[in-house]
Amino acid sequence: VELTGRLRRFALARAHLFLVEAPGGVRTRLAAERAARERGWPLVDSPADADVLVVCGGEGAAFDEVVDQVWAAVPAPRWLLRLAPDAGVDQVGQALPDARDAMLERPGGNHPQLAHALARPAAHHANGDDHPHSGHRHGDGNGHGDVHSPGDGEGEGGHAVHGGGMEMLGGLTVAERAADRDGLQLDVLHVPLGPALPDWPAGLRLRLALQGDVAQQVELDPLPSGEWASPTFWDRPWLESLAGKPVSVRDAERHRATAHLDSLARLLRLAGLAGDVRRCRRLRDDLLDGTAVGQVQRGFAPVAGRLRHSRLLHWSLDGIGVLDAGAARQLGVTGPALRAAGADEDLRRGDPAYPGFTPVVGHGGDVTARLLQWVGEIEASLAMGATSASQAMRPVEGRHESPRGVIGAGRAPSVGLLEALPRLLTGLDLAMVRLVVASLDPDLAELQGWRPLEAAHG
Amino acid sequence: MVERAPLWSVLALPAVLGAFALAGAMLDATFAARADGRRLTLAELGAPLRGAARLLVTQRRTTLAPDAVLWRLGGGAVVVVALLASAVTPLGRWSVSDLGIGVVWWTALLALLWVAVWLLGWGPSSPYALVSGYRFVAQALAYEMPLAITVITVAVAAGTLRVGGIIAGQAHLWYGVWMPLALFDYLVGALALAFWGPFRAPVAADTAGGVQAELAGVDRLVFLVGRYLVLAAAAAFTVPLFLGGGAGPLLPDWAWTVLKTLVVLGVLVAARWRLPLVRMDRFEEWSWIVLLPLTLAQLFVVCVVVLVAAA
Repeated sequence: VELTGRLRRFALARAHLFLVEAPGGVRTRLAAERAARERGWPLVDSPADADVLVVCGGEGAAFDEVVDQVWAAVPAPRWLLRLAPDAGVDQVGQALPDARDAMLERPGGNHPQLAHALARPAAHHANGDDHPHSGHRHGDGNGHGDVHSPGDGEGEGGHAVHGGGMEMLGGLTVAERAADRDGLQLDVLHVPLGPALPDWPAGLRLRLALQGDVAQQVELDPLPSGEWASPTFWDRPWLESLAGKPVSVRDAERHRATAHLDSLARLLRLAGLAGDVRRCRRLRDDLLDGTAVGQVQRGFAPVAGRLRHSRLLHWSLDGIGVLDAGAARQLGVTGPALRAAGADEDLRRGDPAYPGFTPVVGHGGDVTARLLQWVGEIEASLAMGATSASQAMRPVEGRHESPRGVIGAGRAPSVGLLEALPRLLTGLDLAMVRLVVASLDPDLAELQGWRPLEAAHG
Repeated sequence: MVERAPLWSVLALPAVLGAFALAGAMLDATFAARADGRRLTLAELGAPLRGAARLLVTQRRTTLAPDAVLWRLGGGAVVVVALLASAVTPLGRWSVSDLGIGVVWWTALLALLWVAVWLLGWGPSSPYALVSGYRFVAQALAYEMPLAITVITVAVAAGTLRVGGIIAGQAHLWYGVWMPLALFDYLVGALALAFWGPFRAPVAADTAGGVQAELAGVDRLVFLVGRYLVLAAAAAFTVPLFLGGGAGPLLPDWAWTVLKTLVVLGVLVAARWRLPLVRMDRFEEWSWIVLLPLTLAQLFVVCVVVLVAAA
């Protein structure tokens, strides 16, 4: 027994973490990622490879259901660690080893295995409730709709799928048939993507009709919006400035670079650049820590060079998810996603605190363009963060240029990004779907009270 | 030059190949630590061993309505295929079996990976795993033809399918030197068949780990070990095919084989940390339209050289 205990302590000294981020839980996720990196604890892709399930922020019935289902897919020994959305770096750094030690004491874990969340394949989602793809919305408004009947669990965190009352095989829905784009009769599987996926916008859930690995139909179905924590961390300096508090250009640009580095790291992970993902995360954490901007610039320069000149990367990403300037404007997309399509619209031009400002403008509007747009804007923001005086930025007509676009008047920038998704994703394969979503990286914490329009479906 | 080792070498083979696989995993762990900015300590180097111990003490896992037999068979097959294929790979002067059809044996066994990985995807009745299993089949369509023709090119140059004969054929000049395209081809194929680096789409992050998304405990360990064994087997076979086998000054044959294998393994592992994932449809197109004709042209040139030399 003693030997087993010691073997277990050795084996689990570096617990594997699966992070589930709720909208508004960004800061906690950043703290958890940082603690994991410093300790060398792996952040894993699937709950099947996890020991500690780390839930960053988030409350409410629908979110709890997601947690239950992911938990069901975690093999013992396991532990559930729920972190408050405002947990700091030190607090998280302490909570992780505590969770590991507790897990070693009680391998069965600290969370009940609920009957409705039996271990399904981490990604297989099927249940018998029969609503066709268009009619019924899940998770609109308050509460969590009516779809979470017993037996509709699955591990990866998505939920029920429109089964259409089909034949069941051991509790799983059998694929139905439909014509594909070439008119062939092929199997269709209804698969939800998200919300508990790594490198995926927190709280976002897409309902896909897959034929093979091609998404023939895409619907937006985010978690109910009553549950967002209030104002998003990434928009904070600009919201404060709008509220009348002076925020210096230097601080704002530093924050912008941090936000873009986080988005970039998530996109790069899906693009498979394992080394640069970790470097971007490290630079992001350095910025949050208060490291001198010059040092971050030196660290980012080689990464930027590689991303600009990697022909293999461009060859793999070119032409995916093209959002041209016209379509972007029509959808109300602003910010980097619009500039990546060639538009030179940037509110900072009109702000006297940014003398001689020229926006970074890309071309093409595809995933490569948006990736390089972030690279360019990170460099520009770091340069401004290094040199600008502590002059306070001023809103232009009550609006500001935040990391994801214009905030202050009208809709939040992420609304446009989100509503662009169904159109951009329809007809892409699963790998490309993930890349396009990551290249737009909508922040659902911005979407207080928003709900998908029927017209927005692809 | 290459002789058949005594019967006990059958037992030594898993140990030797396993040591190479472990070296690959350790190198991978050091790359991870470096990118994360952690100091390189013994604990970092030992991360793969700790990870293996972890999988031994954690729970196995099943899914709803799996095809359990085929699923577990797929994982085990990856290990078996890598070990059996390496029976013809010599270590210095010794080989477990220097078959007369050595290169055919190696290629045919690694082609069984198609089945193994697809079964891993099929088994758990999970869409991510299923999609990823098919991704490997699609990838195999792209890499298998150029790889097979490359291996044939080497056999044509040596005038034999026996691995010992191929090494003997490089007494004056390594095939890697006068057939650089074939070497490049082979390395691309090696990365693709081990679904490693730019070709890791079947186990990529976008599908929650792909065919390994549902694996836990010892089942996951078997799969991970198998994958590193395949990578090591592919790296080790580069040495007799392109790098002159155990030939080299001063050191004994076996030491040169080990050294050369480690260098190739290092290149393959480093590729994962420097190269992005290659988009499948682009790779497919490039492979058939660019790589395959070039490979055939290489074969043609080699045939002409062999005929002229014989005449």
